[in-house]
Amino acid sequence: MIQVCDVIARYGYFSLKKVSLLISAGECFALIGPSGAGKTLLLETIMGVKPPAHGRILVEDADITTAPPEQRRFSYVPQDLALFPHLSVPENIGFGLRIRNTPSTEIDRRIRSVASMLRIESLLSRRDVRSLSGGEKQRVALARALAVEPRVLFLDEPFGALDTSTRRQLHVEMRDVQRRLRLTTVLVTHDLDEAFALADRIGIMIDGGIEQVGQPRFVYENPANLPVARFLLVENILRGQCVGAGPAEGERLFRVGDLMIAAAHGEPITPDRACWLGIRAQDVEITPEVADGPGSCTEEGSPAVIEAVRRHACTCTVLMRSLSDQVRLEGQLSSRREATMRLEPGQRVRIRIPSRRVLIFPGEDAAPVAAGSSG
Amino acid sequence: MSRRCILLRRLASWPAVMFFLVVGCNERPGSDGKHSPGTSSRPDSSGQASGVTLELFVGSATKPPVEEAAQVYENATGTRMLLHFGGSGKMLAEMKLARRGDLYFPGSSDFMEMAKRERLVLPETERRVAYLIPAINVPAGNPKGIKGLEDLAKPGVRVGIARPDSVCVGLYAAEVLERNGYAARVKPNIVTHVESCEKTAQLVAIGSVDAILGWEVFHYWQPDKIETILLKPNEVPRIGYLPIAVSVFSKEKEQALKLIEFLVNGQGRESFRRWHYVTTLEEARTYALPDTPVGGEWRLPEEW
Amino acid sequence: MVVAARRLLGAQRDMIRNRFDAILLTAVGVSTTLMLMLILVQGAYTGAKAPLRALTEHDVQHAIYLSFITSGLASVAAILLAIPTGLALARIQFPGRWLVESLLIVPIVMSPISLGVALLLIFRTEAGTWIEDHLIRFVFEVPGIILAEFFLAYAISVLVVRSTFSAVDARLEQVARFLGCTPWQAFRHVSLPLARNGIIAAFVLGWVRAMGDFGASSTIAGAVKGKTETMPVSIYLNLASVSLDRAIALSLVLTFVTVVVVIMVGLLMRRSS
Repeated sequence: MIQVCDVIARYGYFSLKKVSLLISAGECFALIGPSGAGKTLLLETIMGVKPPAHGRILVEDADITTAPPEQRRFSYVPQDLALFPHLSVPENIGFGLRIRNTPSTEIDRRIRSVASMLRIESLLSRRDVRSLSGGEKQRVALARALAVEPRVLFLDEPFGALDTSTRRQLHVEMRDVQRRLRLTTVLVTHDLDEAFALADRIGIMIDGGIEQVGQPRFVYENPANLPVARFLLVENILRGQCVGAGPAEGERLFRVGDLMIAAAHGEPITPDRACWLGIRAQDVEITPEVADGPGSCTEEGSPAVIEAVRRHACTCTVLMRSLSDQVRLEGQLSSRREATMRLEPGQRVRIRIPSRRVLIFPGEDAAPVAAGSSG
Repeated sequence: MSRRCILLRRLASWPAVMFFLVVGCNERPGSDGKHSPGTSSRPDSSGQASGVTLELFVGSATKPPVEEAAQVYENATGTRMLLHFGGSGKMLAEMKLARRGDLYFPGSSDFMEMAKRERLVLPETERRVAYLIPAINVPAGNPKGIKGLEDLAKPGVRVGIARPDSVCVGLYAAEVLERNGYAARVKPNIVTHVESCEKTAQLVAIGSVDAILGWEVFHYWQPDKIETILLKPNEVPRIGYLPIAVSVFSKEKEQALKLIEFLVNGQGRESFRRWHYVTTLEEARTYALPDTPVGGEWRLPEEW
Repeated sequence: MVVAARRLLGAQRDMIRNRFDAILLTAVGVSTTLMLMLILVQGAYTGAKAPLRALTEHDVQHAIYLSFITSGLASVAAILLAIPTGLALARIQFPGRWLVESLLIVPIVMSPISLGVALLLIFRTEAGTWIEDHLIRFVFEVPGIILAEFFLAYAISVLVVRSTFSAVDARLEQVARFLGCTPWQAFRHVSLPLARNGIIAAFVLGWVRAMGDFGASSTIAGAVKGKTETMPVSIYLNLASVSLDRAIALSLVLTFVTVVVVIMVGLLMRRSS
């Protein structure tokens, strides 16, 4: 439906790498990445706010690269929503329809239909959009965008300013509406959860270039490279050396400092080759060492010492180091679980990492991320 | 409540107090002329008069020579000269409002008469400094070939004058036209009245009009831009003179009189001669007839 | 008087919440006093009857009428040019924009008389004389007043319009474009309504400057009684013939008339917002 061909977007001195994308009709595509990656710039270039320095953009096989915005039949909800302050709620929603000289009965019908879809019928009597709450404004902005029945909907950090519970609720409703209308949607966000909730496919954008495109779950489990892995919150990135085959089928054994870690994921690595290993904190299984007692002679896992315990609302981050202090690791448990274990700094534990959860990235020059710095 | 807060609150309310003060303590107009000439408070040491300042309100008809003469006087005596230039009427108005000044030096006797009537000058101190001859002025090169009053009535000739009701040179212009019977014929060609002496001269200096009725001496103000076409001697209805008098507000009357002497009889006269102003009555009469009146007043007809 | 002052203090007790507010209100007090003083000293000099009597005179009525017509037309023309110019300066990053912005204030930077002289010189050029001979006469005519006042009103209006449009979020126009607006429609339905009050203010400021002009308009149009004598010119001429009472009376009339119009416009702005 949308074809982005070799587009280079530029703004002042900031220039994106060449981008090519294909977005299918009815799909919701999320561009995610850290701040400053160029997501909004790419979005605006595809939309037509800024012309690309190079390349073409096709929509339904028609080249719209030079078409003016009002002919593209896109709708845009920017980050600050840009509701028209001098118009009432129904006037905002019906703005696009009035401009296109839609008959007023049709305008009223569509306003009501869109308002009921987004459950804002009660707001239709409001005259001043500035007095609406954050969530209400969001819905009105969406209603305004949907009322004109666009071909594509573009959203820039749509729910950024809202509190978590409102945001989650809007995620569900938005997904619902998007699926029901089969509306092609392109959105930009830095929030992983939001991308997962809304998108059929995601594109990870880092430093001006798209590093990986795919379905959310797949990308999450299989980051293409280190920068993507870091963005996707792989907390532990360790430098290791392959020392041979691991115990089980398809495993490789890596020496990381004074730890031996087996990995069964990723490309085959030849022995003696250095590379980076990525381990998610939630995949590190932590068992406190029991000095004596029944069933304590399980020698599974490597020994480690707890350096710090950080308790959040639902999870608990545990910072550990290997016995010889060469390796630092971050682990994560649910708060409830930690409460039963009652971990303390200085405590000795045993850690076990399932080999299939270890990500292997062949030797790159990217700087290592010390364990614990993402906490 | 802190003391500072109270103080600030009081401060914020003094506008109201000011209001009542201003409205209440106002002087009525008409009390101006009743100020008795005060005695000079400064010791008069003739010869070494440094420390004395003389303030002059001067009509701009005499700006070039007065500036020069004032400088000479200041160098010679050390008296500081403070000069105000502008329209004669405006100068009188300013002197009257500000209630200060040592000398009034307008560009015509009409304004001096007004000053005497309003008791703003000491009539016994009036002297004549120089004479002004009304004439036709044209832009350099005389593009329309004006030779006399007759030519001002030709179709297509654009004539400018000063406002007859408020500027002396304008009043003279009206008088010239009326007394010589050209008023009806030239009036259609008068495209503008301007509000000051300098603006009148500027009209031909820039070339906005083909001719003005101004002073003969305008040519010397900007020799490369303004030419003078003299009127025939019988066409000059009145010889204007430049009067000077001591202001009633002066606190340096002795010094003021000394300056008048300087301008009329002393070296100041040289400045006026150098700028080609007519300084003797005999010379003035060469432009007119032996019995042409000098000074006095002329009433402006209603239709002007 | 004491009672009035005390009541004034009492009212201020509610308005002043802290020391900073007190300082701000003091500034208001000082400003108001200064302006009131200007008016009151004049009123005290002439009394109330002289200005009212002046209003009945034909010459004065003509001068007021001329001032209104010329400044009205001049400021309307000025705002019509100022709106697209101000919008362009606010929205479009064209090369040399900084230079253009500095140029546009030239009419109010040069002394009004210089502006008049410059206009006179324009009409001495070939193009100028052609315009005078075949289109409109400006020199020494009423259109000259309108032209001079136009320059002055424009220089002020364009600055205010520019800052007004800068304050209107460009993103609103973007969204409007995507909703189907051509650039003109986006301007008309979004930017213009939001800029309304600023544009009115720009118009009023330009008009006020035009109303009060003396130097520029008198230089290009002369000061012919009954033809090109506007109120400021009339005031000057009266001063020049030492008719102080009349000059000040006219000054009060001009001030009063202008202030009334400004107040009316202010009410209009407030009522429809």
